[in-house]
Amino acid sequence: MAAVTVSVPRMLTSFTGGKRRFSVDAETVAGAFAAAAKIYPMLRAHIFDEAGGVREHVQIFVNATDSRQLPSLNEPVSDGDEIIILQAISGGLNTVVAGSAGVPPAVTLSLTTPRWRQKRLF
Amino acid sequence: MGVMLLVGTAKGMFILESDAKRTKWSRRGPYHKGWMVYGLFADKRHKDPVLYSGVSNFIFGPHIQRSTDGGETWIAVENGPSFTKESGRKLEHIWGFAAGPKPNVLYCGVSQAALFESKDDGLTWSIIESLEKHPTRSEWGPGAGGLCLHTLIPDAKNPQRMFVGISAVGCFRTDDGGQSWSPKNKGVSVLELDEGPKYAGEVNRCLHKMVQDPEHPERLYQQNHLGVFRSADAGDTWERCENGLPAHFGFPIAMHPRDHDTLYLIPQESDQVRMFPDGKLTVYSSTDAGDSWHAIGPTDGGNFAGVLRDGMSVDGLDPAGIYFGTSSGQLYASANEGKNWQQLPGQFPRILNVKAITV
Repeated sequence: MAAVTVSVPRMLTSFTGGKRRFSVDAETVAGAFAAAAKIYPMLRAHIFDEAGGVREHVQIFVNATDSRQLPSLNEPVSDGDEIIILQAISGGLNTVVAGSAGVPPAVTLSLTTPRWRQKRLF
Repeated sequence: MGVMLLVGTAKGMFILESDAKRTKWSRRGPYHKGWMVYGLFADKRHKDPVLYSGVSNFIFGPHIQRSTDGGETWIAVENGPSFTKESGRKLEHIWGFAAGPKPNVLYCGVSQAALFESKDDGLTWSIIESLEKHPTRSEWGPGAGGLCLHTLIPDAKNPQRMFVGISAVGCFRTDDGGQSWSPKNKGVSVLELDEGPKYAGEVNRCLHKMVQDPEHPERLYQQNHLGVFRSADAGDTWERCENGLPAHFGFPIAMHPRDHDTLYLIPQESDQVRMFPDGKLTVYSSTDAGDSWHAIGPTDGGNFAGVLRDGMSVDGLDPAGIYFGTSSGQLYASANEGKNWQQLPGQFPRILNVKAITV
């Protein structure tokens, strides 16, 4: 078991007794979420959707890696790892996913394409 | 005696309180700060009313909050409404609540449209499959506010009967305690899209809000997307009742707590404009069960906002108080059935829901 820090956005602190960060013991990323949900049950439904995936506008980083770039949430975690849950900056008609060509993996989330640029980009 | 006014907004919930005079109000909140509060309910079957909030967030989704101390503290319901993975459906907002015919039984309506039941005072919820699997389900379509089951009316006298209102689908009724449901929209205009009527059949009616006369429970009234309608046969048939109204579009409709032929609604100019006609914010009342309507104020000129479907409420005092909140965050009150009005202090976020509770 590794000691992992979980960081939640302010909107979810009503489910964590006001804590922005807390520690769980886990072997995998998914295991860390399971451990977090065991302590704070309301987290699960607000991070994951009905299909079990990460909600469309929720972004999770494992250290500096976008969780959507991981093979799965069953990736192992190590002592000192941090799982950061963020609300994505998103909107508009088109999105650019972190890790796509020209978008560094640690640069965030999804970007709104200005209307005047949409034709040029797509 | 006094009034507790629950005000759900796009960024949290506020509670305003007053004594029976209803001239001076105190305010507390916001509760659920930053969350949208679509659903509000006070279960008065308890000695101290149990309060429910249906809260939601664009990013993180919805849940129910519950309070047993008059709204001072709230606890999130862990086993709230949810869809299964297999359903392919998404829970968006918790829209409405109602007390069931048996003790400890509650119902709530959600978007995407579904009805849930709790048999333990709101602690755990399960979906009512008979409506979920209704044969017309494939024809259900959303309105601008989503595909939402927003109105729940357990019949005032028949414990086996219940009505629900769904946008943009219409009215449904069960007569067997929820085992089966029938669309009850005959006489209500069908939504017509650019390409013409989208669906034949008994759905595709955009019911915005509906009330029941508890003394004569076969009498129903609805503010619909396409007009104001009434039924004298428990929804089997409907007819228009719009005489005297400056516009037929609107969202809320409310009923006087004792004189059930007296109704209130707030007309807005067309579904495309959705503003008060001529910028005059005006409540209209009927005192003859919908035969005719007349303005009762506040006729606040220069107001181009709107009032949403759950944005109006009536208290149980004598004379009755009428309250409504606008989409631009103004809260209005009358302590004497519309003779005089005051705007209550505070500029709120977009007001989604107003519930007056006599305490």
